[in-house]
Amino acid sequence: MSTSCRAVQELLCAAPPGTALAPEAAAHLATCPACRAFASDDARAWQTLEDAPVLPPPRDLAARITERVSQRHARPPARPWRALATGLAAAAAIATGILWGAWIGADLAPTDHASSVPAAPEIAYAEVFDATPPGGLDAPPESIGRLP
Amino acid sequence: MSEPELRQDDTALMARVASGDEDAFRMLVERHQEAVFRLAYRHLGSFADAQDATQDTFQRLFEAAKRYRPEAGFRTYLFTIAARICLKRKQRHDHSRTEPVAPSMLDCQKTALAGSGPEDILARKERQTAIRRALDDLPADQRLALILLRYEEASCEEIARILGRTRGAVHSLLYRARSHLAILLRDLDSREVDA
Repeated sequence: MSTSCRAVQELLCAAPPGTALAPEAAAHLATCPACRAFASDDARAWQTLEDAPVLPPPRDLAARITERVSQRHARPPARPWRALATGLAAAAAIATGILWGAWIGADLAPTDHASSVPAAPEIAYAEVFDATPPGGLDAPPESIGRLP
Repeated sequence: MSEPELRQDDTALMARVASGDEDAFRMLVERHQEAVFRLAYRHLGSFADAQDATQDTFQRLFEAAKRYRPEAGFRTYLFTIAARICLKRKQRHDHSRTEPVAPSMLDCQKTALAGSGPEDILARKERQTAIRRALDDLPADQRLALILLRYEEASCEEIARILGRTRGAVHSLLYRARSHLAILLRDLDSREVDA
């Protein structure tokens, strides 16, 4: 198939059979047996497609479509009592939170407990690195001391 | 009503839909549901899927009403939404095959088939199923382009807008679709002649 045959056949297929072609394409078609055979087969197939099955839409389709759309896009009905109840519940929850927080905060706040805390016990130390280990028979009594 | 009047009317209705007017939306649905359903059914090959796709398309249209700018025709805009939904749906359910031609479909055609014998009806059913299988054999974008051209009488420019392709790409899609289909349907015709 030459390039011009393909171009002419594409033009033939871009419109229903019998549509007027550009003069150059019409001249090619008149003299090209391959393109004439193509056009003939195409016209027959086009005619055969007339018998392709088709059904009308169901009778209630339009009603179903409009109902579906109006259901999906319907605004929710106004319910002022519901908004009020929601607002009150939210306010109560916030207030409870604040009070609870204040109570816990007061419980954890630092207070002056210094006087009630017992003094740290005095820790005795031993000069363990003495040449003579503590408890030895010759340990001098002054090596047992107290922390400053 | 002429095409420009209808288009203007659709645009005016869309402006009303944007302000939440459900009556205007109902009018648009009643006016265009059949075209959207046909497109979806031909593309998806399933009655149930076509219903879902049609509902999704109008749902999206409603949601997009505020953003709608009447630069292209309303129908182009609507088909753009429908095409995206159909392509996505087909991609998601690619394993599903076209359902056979339902008896209800033949009921719809009783007028056309009045006076035909059972053999004629059966032959017609088989032919319709074969045509639909041939359409189903095309890649989704080719099939959609062909359906728009063949059944919705859309121009190449309109198809390009709907599919978000260039005009050249649409020419190429249609060429591939129609050449493939010509071979498939030639086989169908030759089988019928042999029979």
